[in-house]
Amino acid sequence: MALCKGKLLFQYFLNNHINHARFLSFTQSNLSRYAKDFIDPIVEKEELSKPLDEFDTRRHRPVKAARTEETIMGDQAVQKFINIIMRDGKKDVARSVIDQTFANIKRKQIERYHRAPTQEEKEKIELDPVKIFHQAYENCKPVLYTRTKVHGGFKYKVPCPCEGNTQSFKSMKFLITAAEEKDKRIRMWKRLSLEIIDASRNEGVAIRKKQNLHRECQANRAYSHFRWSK
Amino acid sequence: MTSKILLNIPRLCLRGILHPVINTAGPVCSCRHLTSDVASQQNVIQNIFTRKEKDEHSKIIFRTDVTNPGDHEIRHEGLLYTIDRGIFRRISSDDCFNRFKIQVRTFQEACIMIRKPALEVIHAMKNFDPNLPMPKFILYGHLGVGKNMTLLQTMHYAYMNKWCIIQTPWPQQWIERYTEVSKSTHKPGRIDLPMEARAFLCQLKSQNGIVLNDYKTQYRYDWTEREATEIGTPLIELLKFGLQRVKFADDVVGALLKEIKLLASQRKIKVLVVADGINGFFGPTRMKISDKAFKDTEQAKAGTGFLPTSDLSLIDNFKRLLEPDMVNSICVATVDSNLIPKVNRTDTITPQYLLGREGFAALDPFIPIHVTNYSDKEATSMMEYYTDRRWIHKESGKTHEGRKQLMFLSNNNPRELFKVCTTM
Repeated sequence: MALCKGKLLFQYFLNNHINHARFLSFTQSNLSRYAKDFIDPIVEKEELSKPLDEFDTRRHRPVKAARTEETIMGDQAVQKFINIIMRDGKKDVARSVIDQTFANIKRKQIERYHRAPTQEEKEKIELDPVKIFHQAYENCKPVLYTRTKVHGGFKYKVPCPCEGNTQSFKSMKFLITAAEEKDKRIRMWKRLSLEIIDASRNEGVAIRKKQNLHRECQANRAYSHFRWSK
Repeated sequence: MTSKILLNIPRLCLRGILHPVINTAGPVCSCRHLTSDVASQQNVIQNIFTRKEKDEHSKIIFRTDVTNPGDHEIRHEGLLYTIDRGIFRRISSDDCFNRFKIQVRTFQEACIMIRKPALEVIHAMKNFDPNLPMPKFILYGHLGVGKNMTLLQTMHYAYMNKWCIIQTPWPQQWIERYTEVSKSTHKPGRIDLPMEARAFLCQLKSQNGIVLNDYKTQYRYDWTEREATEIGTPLIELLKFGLQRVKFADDVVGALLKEIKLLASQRKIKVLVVADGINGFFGPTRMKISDKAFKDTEQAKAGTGFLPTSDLSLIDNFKRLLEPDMVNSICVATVDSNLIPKVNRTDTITPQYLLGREGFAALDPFIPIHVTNYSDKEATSMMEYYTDRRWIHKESGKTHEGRKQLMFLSNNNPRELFKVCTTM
């Protein structure tokens, strides 16, 4: 005996697990891939080893997958850097390049550490590659950048303040392009590691790129009022 | 308490290679986790690593002061010792131990671990019968397990005791990555690789300069109508001739090996033959006969296919060392699955499979030695070394729990352990 349409749907929901109903919302509430009732994952090992209560929400609510930076690399900026260096969606390759750059930075620094004659000089040398990367990343951040604007049939490069995501993106892009422009016969991880070490000391091509951008903004400061015009 | 030092004496004695001498030198103690026994072992201890944390492994000895590889015993197993950097530079020529060289540059010292397989080979080198044909040790194991480092340790022993070392490069250098090809001047039908032969001669010169200086030639060699090497010229001059006239470099290699073989049979010198990836010297090469370089040679008549290894004069010269009339010498070699084309590669690592029929027939009475991953003790002492050298500098890497995780991630494989520790 055939059921009517409403009864069929009702039967479907009953038979299947009740969680299926969650995916059938027709209005888009947020851009997240997870529905609203997913709870955040627990990353700490000590927290995980504790026994659960009988009425704990984790017993019956679904859990989001843990993010990569929460578990392995432990750094959000590094993950962003990997995504920027990636070409054609080959994340595996990009990740291996970054791993090798950090290994090479570490090697260089440890060599310098063991060559240093006195204990005082040794203590000054930073050995953690992630910290060196952060130093370089902070040094490469530009304060100003230019936008093109058409006014009266002419294109003007209008200087405007650089902050937030734009600033971090630009600093990472400076590092990568500076490394890419070097000698192609050397491996990318080698070029990139040298560039990052240089940038952490306020030297190198990436820093020069930032300074050139600043200089251009300085030259075009007459156009800065176009920022407010239409 | 005394002990038998060697691990499998009966196996070696059965084959008639060793005198049944049992080395009973010194007391033996469980070597690493001793906190009470420290005072009695003061010559062994160079560095005791101490930490403020309350940990089970607060004091772990990971180094020895004994730098002479001849003095190492089974109680030193799992400890690290330093090779003098000048000696290391002489032993390691241009294109071998490349990964280790990078490590030496970063840590500013050449430091390797004393492990069972090397001790076994060195013990055999100390007491073997010079009248019998040479014993061949073949090291096998998975990738990154430390076969090359055992070779280095045996070479260090040989260098310290003034043996003659003959070491071949990684076989791909001769089989695949050739730079120049020419017809042989000595025998028609053979093919010379002059630049590779020259590199080989440079290596011979750096590794055993003392031996070559002392002895003189016992044959006469005619190169051209005008040029000849008389009887009684020092071997080093013969070698220098090969470096000057690159055309004859392959023949000079053959002549030198012949002289060394003769000297060994006269009991004047002892010879250590070292070959990394010996299975590459058997079977076909990766050189295509249809290539331009082989245009004028006799092999070109055959048309297509790959060149057999026996046609290369360098490899032919080297294989003569493996013949049964070679005495007063020892061969240490590794077999490597990297040399098999990727299509045919499997997980099998046994020497019989990797050598193939031809190689097995050439090397037949050999002693296989299995090189395995680190034991837990060895892994902890290695990580202790890494913390000493600042390769591990995060606090999480120094704890007992963190070390357990590192060992789990790398499965105690030496190469993987080094890689895993880079993020620490």
